[in-house]
Amino acid sequence: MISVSITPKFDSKIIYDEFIEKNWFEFQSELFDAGSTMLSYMQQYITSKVKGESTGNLIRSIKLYSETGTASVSWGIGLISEMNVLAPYWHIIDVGGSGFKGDYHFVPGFFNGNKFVYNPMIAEGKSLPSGVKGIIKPMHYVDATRLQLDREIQRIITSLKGK
Amino acid sequence: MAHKYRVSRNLEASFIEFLNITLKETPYSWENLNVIKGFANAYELPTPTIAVRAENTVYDKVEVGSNSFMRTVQIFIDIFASDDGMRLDLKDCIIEILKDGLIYNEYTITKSGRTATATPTPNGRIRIQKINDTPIDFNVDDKSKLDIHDRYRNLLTLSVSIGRVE
Repeated sequence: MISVSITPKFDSKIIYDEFIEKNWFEFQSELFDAGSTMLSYMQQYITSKVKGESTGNLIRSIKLYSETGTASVSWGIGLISEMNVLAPYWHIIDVGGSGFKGDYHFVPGFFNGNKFVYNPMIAEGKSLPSGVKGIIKPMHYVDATRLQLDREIQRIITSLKGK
Repeated sequence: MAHKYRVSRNLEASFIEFLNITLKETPYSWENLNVIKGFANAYELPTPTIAVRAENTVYDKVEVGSNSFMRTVQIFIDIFASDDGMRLDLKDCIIEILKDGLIYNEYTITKSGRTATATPTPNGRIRIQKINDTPIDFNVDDKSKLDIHDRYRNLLTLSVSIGRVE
C-alpha cells in the first residue's frame, strides 16, 4: 500500500508580504478596475436573465461608486436609496417571491425596493381584489456578482504571484 | 427509449437526491420536507421546502492555448421554512452535509408510457468551492402579512466543480 499525505502550507501573511505588499500599487489599480468589471458583470447578468421586454431601469439604477485615498481603494455597486427610487422592485427581482399581477397588488401589499408596503385598502378595512398570485423568479444577481468578485480577487492575487 | 442528462441537470439532480435522502435520515430526521427543482413550484407546496437550481456556469481554460475547460457552476438553494428557528436549523444542516461534497451522479431517463424513471450512476464527486449564506429579509414589521413562503427564507449560493476537464 502506498499512501501519500499532503499538507498545504497556507499563510495569509506570506501572501500579503510576498505578493500584495511588493506590488501594492498594481494591486490597488487591479482592485479599482475590478469595480467596473463587476458592474459590467452584474449588468450583463441581469440582461441575460431578462425575459421579454424590459424598461432597463434596473440596469441603469446600478452604478459604481468609488472612493480613492492615498492608501486605500474602496468602491461599491448600487446605492440602495437611489435604487429604491430608480428601480423600486430591485430587491424582489433579486430574491424573488410572491409578487403582483395586472393592475392589482394582490393581498396584502407589494414590495418597494427591499421594503414591503401594505396595501392601503387593508388599513381602510376594504375588501381586496382577488388577483392571481404571481411568483417572481429570483435572479440572485447580487449573490452571483459576489461569487464572481471572489473569482476576480483570486485572479488578481494569482496574477501578482506570477510577477 | 432512454436518454441521458447533461452535466447541469446531473448536478441539479445529484443535489436534490442527496439532500432529500440525507436530511430525512438519522441524525437529521427532517419530516415533511420537500426538496424540489426550480423556484416557483415551492409556492405550491407546504413549508419546509428546499428549491435547488443550477444557474450560471463559468468555464476556465485548463492551460494557455488549450481547448480544454474546467467548469464551475453556481447552485442556488432557496430555503422556505415555517419559522425562523427552522430556517436557521435547516440552513446549518444543509451546510454541514454539503461542505464535504457529494457524489456526482449521471442520470439515465427511461420512459415507458407515461412513466419516466431516472437511474443514477455514480461518476465522480462534486466539490464545494464556496458557500454564501444569505437570509432573505423583506424588511416587514409584521411577517404574518407576507405570503407564508416568503416569511422565513434563506438563500445558499454554492460555487461547485466536478473537477473534470471537458
